[in-house]
Amino acid sequence: MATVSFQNIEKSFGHTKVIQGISFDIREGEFMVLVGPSGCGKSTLLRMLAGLEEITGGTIAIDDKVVNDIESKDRDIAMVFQSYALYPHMTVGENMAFSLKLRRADPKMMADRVAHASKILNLDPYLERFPRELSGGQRQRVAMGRAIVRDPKVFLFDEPLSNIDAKLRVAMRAEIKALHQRLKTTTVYVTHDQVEAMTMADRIVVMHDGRIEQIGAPLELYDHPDNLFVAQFIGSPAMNVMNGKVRRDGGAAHVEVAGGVRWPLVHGPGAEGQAVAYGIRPGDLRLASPDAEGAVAAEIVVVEPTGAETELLIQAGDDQLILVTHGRPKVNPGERIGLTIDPAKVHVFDQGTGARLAA
Amino acid sequence: MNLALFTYFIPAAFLAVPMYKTMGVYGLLNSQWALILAMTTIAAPYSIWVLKQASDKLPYELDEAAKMDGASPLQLFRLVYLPLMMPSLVAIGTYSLLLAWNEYLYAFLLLSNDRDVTLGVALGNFLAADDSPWELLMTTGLIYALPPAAIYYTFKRYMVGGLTAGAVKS
Repeated sequence: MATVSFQNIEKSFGHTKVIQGISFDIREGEFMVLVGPSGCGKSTLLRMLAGLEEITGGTIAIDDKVVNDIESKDRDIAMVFQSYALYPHMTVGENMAFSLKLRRADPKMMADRVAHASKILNLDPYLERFPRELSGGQRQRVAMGRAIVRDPKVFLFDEPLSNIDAKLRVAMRAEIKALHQRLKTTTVYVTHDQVEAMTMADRIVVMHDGRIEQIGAPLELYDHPDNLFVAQFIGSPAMNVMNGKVRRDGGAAHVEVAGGVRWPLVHGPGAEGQAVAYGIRPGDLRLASPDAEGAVAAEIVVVEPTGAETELLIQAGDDQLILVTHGRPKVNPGERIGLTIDPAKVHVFDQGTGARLAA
Repeated sequence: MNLALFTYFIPAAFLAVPMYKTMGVYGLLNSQWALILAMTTIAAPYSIWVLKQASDKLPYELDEAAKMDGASPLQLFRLVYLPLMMPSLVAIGTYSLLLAWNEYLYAFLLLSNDRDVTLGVALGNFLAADDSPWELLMTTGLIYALPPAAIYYTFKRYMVGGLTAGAVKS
């Protein structure tokens, strides 16, 4: 177990600066997920920690020891690659033992470690097989096994589930999380999939354009996004966001959006006339009758039942919103309905800066 | 890279005279080294091209994975790349060997000592006699044909690709 600390990390490829001074700490035994759209610098950051990429500026420390000039193999970290990167000419067992063999480890200890890892990952029956004889999920488990046998200070995962089909991905997600709970090794996990980030992380670092947008526990990011980017990136389906202006003249405060629709505002962030982005999660919208008090008039466009949940695409004024409900509402496309919301669950951001307005 | 292959547009016979002169300058005529060097030169462009094609197909992640596993550059080469290049190495080895084995022109030209000539040239010498000893010619011909067949048969399994299958998701 170890702590990892990034201090003012910068990275340039030629004249292009891809990471713009990032600082954060990873606690001992923490499962930290770096998430962001492609090109945000998350993989580069991980590769710098791995020692596969030069650090342009700043320092990276593992257990308070700066590792900038230490070679990957001496950093005591293990990495699982997106493409597995198994040695095709070695059996599963040889693949897992390779790093120990290079270190001239004691054969007995080597056999013990491999046996231990293969037991954890249910790879026992496959130790004599070659990677080409395994399925995608099994190969990914071998890649993890290769990391486990080293008993490193830090595990690095670089989008390990991107190459696996959807159903298996969900299973592997749980498997990796269970593995972390069992081994309690500090883990840095890179993904572009916010669902993966939400389900697996102790804490999430949301990155965008080489900067950190927000760091926090999954539900913290979901409930209190610092800015519009995080609000729209975290959560599936994404948050509904409407642009409008704060109105306080007479009666209850509200946000008036294009098309004249008025959305209620309770705590009253924002000054009169301020241009804001008004966000509401699909799960926080409620169906009501069209003439219910305080309801916003809207029209159903599409109904998408998925069994447990139903997704509704709704037209309100000029905006199209998504509503997710657990029930099976009896509504049809074209039907006039009303929408109510709990104003406490509304997120309001400044339209210019995207920053969250204090509620 | 592909430019090297252009050398094959020049017929071997065309290069025979310059090759002979070059070997003469280095004092290698009538030495087996002359033929060895000449055949290596002829086999090199194609071999390099094959090796380049094969090594381009090796996934880069293996390099990084081995680095993280603690392999030094030499270990990386010996334990990861060399085994993966084995099919190509065997293929070009067989190709070069058979090319040299079947060579007539350069062997005839560069080696003139009776004790040094290759089997191919010796076979030709049988025909140069007024009364060709056909039974000797046929027997030697049969023996001459055996090694290539044996070599090809032995390394057949290396000739098929696909050893890298399973390294990375394709």
